[in-house]
Amino acid sequence: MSALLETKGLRKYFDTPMGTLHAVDGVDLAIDGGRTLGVVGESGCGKSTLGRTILRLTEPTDGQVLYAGSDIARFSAQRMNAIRRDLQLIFQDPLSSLNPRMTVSEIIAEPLRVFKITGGRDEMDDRVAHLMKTVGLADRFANSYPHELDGGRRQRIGIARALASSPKFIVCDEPVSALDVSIQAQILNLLMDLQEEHAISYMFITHNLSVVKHISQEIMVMYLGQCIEKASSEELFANPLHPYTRALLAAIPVPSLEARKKRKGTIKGEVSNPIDPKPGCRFAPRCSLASSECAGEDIILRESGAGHLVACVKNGTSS
Amino acid sequence: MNVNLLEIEDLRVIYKTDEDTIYAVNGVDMSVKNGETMGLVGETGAGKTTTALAIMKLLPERTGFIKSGRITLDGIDITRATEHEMEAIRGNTVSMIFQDPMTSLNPTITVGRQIAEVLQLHEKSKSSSEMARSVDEMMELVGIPSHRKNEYPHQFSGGMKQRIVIAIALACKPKLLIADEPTTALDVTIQDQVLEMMNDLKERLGTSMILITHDLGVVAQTCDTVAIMYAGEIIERGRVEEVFDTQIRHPYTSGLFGSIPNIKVTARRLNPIDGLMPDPASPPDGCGFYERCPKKMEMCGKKPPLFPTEGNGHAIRCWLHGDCARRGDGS
Amino acid sequence: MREKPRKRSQFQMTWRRYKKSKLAILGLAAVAVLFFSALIIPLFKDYDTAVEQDFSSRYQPLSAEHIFGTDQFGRDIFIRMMFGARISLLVGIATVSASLLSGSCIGAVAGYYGGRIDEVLMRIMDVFLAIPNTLLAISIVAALGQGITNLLIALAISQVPSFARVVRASILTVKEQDYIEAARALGTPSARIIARHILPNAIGPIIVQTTLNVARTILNISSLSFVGLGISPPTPEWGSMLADAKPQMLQYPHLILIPGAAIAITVMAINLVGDGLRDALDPRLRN
Repeated sequence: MSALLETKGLRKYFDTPMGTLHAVDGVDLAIDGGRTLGVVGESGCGKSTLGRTILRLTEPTDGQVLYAGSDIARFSAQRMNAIRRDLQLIFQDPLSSLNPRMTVSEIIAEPLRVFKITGGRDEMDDRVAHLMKTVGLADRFANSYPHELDGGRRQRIGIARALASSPKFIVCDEPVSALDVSIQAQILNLLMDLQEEHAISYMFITHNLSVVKHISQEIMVMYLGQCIEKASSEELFANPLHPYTRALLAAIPVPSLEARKKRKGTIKGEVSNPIDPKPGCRFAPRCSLASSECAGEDIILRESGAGHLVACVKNGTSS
Repeated sequence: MNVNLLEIEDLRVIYKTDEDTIYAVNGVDMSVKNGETMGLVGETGAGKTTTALAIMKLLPERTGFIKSGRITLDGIDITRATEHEMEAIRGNTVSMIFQDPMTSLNPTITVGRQIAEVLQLHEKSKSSSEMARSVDEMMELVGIPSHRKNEYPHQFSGGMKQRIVIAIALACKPKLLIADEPTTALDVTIQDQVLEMMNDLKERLGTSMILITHDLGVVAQTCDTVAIMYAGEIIERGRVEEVFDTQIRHPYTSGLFGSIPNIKVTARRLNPIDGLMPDPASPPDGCGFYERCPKKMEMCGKKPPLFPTEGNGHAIRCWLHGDCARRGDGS
Repeated sequence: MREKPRKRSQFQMTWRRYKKSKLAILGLAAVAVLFFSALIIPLFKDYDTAVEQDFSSRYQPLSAEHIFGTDQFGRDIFIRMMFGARISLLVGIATVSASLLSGSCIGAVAGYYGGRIDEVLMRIMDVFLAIPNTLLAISIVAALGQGITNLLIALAISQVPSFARVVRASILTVKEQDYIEAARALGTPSARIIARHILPNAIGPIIVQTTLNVARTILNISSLSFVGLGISPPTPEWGSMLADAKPQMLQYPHLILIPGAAIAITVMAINLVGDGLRDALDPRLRN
């Protein structure tokens, strides 16, 4: 079975006054139907740009985006708009992504109108009511405005809107980062339920490794525009190979006291930006294992064990 | 014997808007000892920031009011202090840092100058060379090379900016630092660095700290004591060992622990707390958590539970637990 | 059957929020009175009574017969004020509508498409903006000759840039919002994005600018007439009434106070309505 969505050498560069920003720099990924790929990284690693480039909300600089076998990066605007029915997006900030002058039901009905999915007024109302029920929004909010609701409900509106056109693939861009923990868990469970019911594929973008663990079958770690490690969820957490992945895992504040006693050294420095990057490992300046081998030429993703890819010359082992 | 630097008794804060009254803080009791870090945990709207603003006496004028209660900071009753007295207390005795470092720094003044300004306000007698030395010291203290003092805030990254904000807050060596979600806006690796620096600083300077956060992980890594807020009340408090290493918890605290996505746990589904916090405009009669509580009993909806009257240790404000349960039966 | 909460219409909601502000209501009342009286005055008084001179009744003080007294030519000031209001409102609304329409088109095109079109259009607007409004109007009147039509054209042209800028700026701000990207992600066609998502959210500043401009135009006509370039006597116009009264203002202060106050009150009332509308049109502000 071939993947539902696949990218090959996907690149997105931006011209800035300081040089060319390599926001997404040669990313290959594949997501099967009904599965979730977690994309993890810190701010500036290009994870959001990757999601937007796949959906062609920004035009890719180079590379292919294969959806059900055809390269949507080459689609005409018209054809692209038609295929958007299958490819949806859930935003991080539920409030700013909802038109403040539209009511909840109008927002959810918008995709139905755009794709002319429903016939008459009644059918549309029924469909909207059904969608609201699916995401757990009470009927009485139909005529509310987004600002009148709390963060969790707003995100439910965003999810209902994304679901309206019965998509097959949804990019979830930090959908729970702006929410409180107890609400976060509700939304994550909702997303997982919807996936089981409708066999939707997710690309789940987040900076939070612990969130992604619950929802993803496969995880990809990004650093400065590149994928530096990719493995199944269990494998990545059990056996992280790239020094950056290890640092990310170590930096998560664990809600237990044992971890407190054995604090390991934090990684030094901060993420720079991928403007005209030199060949070589982009994490090397912050890496405790870095040596001369890490500079000079680009480090490619290599298989290290079944399905576990890592872009590190040391393969994560200090010599 | 440690004395309490900060003591809050039965604090109640309301916000008055045109339409209704928001009961933001409903009877908070808590204390912070010298040199101790307290984690104040809760979700949006629990009243954490309002409590902090009440301590600073920085509640929004005309809408925010301390309705009752007492806040004793370093022997002074803040609720009775005049604005003039508060100006001396803020910065010297207590200072506060906010979530977003961007908005706390003036974009048109160099960071060195911003640190110096705070020093000048409180220590007017210093000569300019002494002042310059103090500024250098503060910057090195938070881990920024002092040669960067002539740069402007936009030249620093988010984590660096938060370090500068901390330097400004600590410039006058306050006894108490209130940090409102200081690392929420930062990336995990940077959050880790800043938390480690704060841990280090508090040991070196002996500053007490109230760390406001929604992240129990951050509390576990940095705090000595913890207070968990829900709907304007503290529903559980104790030393971190007592709250983290136990199964006896307030149902809300259990819910919080269950909601946290945990990399150590393999279960796919999370156990969220259903429902939402009660509307602060019309707080319920009984326990604030009643509506969402999986263990609710009939009496919980009628009568708010209280903290046990004796003992300074782990306390849970719930009819299911300890003293509270016993008194519930008796009265 | 599912019970659905009744949907309140946009107008009802706006009105509910509008009436929260006492000042906005006051402004609306003042504007309404002005409109109404300007509208009905010809039913009661002939236009001639506002211009015909009667030297037997010069400089009469305020009385029951002449509520605002009479001027140096014995004309009833109240009647002149009412006919003057017709002119102010007519000129104000006509020129602002014309400039709003053309300015919005220019601004919308520049803002939505950006790039070179934006550059060219906005640089032209900048040239106009570099010349003070009144000065521009004076030059246009001087070039085309005096008369109410030329005055309208002059005032309309001088306002186009301010509308173009405001419309462009609000479209640019709204265009960057996440919900516009959300609409694009849904495959919404451009026309629908502009109509459904951008314009309703950009309307606030445009409405405020419109009311500000109506108010400013009324001021401008008065000042132009005051210096003798606007509407010429004997046509009753507030600015020229002020100019006429200038020589006698110390002996007969009501001659200058009444038109002066009328201008000030009208301008303020319209601005209050503008502010009220801006707030009322924003559903983010609580009901």
